[in-house]
Amino acid sequence: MRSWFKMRRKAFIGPLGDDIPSIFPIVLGVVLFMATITYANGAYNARNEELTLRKTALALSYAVTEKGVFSIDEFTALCEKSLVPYATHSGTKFAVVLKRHCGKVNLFNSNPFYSNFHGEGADNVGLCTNMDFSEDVRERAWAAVNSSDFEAAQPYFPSDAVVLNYPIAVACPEENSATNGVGMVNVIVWKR
Amino acid sequence: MEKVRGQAAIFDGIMFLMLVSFSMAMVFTFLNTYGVSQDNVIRSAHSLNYVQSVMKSIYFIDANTLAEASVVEAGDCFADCQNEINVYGVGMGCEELADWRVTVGDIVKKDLVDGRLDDKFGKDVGEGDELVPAAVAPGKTALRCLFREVMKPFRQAGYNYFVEVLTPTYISLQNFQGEAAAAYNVPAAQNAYPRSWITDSSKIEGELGYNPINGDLHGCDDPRINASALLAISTPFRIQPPAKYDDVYDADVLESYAYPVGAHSGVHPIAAVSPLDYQLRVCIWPAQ
Repeated sequence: MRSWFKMRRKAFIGPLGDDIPSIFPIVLGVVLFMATITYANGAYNARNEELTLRKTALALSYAVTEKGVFSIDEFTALCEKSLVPYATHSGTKFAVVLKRHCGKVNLFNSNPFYSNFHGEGADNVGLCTNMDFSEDVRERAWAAVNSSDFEAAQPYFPSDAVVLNYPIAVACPEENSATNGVGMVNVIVWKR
Repeated sequence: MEKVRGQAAIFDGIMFLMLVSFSMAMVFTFLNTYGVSQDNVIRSAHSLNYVQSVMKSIYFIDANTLAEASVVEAGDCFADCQNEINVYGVGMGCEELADWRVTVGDIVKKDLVDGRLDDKFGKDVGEGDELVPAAVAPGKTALRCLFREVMKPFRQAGYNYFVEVLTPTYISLQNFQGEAAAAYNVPAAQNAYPRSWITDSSKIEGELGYNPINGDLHGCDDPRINASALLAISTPFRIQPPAKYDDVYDADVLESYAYPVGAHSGVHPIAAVSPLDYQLRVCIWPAQ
């Protein structure tokens, strides 16, 4: 008892006990550091993914805007030979849509996936994409994507997509006209 | 000595906490700056690609397809269509392009043959009852109507743009030094461009905006534009002027282009019948 008082008077807690007060700031420091590293890693990866998406979108847009004018046959060939292989190789989903506006460019309330090019026996032939849907909604989703209805297609539009628009010359006022009018190319890229 | 043992341990802990805080600051600083340069490069590359596409469209899009560009429709604007009317006015005259089945580039070249982008091929001759109006070549109108349509995505994204034709005697305002320096002053430039968002050089009229001896003042050089974020692209636009005996030949305009800026009488002029090197310049910048 006497020795206990003596030790207490000298502020001696014990060989380990003397370091106990330092444990709290150390543990706090380790926790903060680990949380920061985890957060930084997540933010770094997210930033990289975003940059990859944007670079892919830019690369696709370079291929699409190279000539400045498109017929639907040229567009289909470019789609098969360049756009689909490139986007698939870079691990992204994409849609490149060639739209004919002719007189006026309508930017709003139109389905971004819908191209008003109609091939022989096919609709929406100005859409080039590698997107796919799960089996249970596939039929319904493709029907919505290939319709001009903005509201119907909206649920299938990816929320994290990078969208770039470019002006381009397309046959106007008809698909087989000899004159060219204003068209737009929508380049939409998103993560798988 | 034993009295300060516990305090020393706390001091160690606090030092460690400070070290961790410093590391965290470093990490967050890195995160804040990571990708910013790449982001800027990608953004700039997209703008550049867009404006290049616009430039290409001048050579491919036929003017007659732009006849309806004057009409304001719901697809033109997201919410406030009044702003669209304020910028472009009610009548742009695009309907007069309906019979022009040639590209916008071709009409602009025809309009510029006489040295002026004024919707005319040549100039009016005579006065009063004997007035013979110049032939119509709506190059300026075609350019305005085209840019109204093709620049919509950028306008809706909050950018302004300016399109202009640079004359062969053009020198950048940054190069206005010595003899040419007198041509540039801020009030003159501000008077020349009362509406900086206009699509073409229709407001560049009169002596303030047009000085064939010392070079022109142009919209993209307007001091009111936020130059730190300005992106300007020029494309060569070579035009063969008419022969000297041609009715369209306007000596007042075309011969001024034959003299380099600052040239004095001892310098041989460039032959006025040689092709003239105009430039089409488009600049875009974020709206204030």
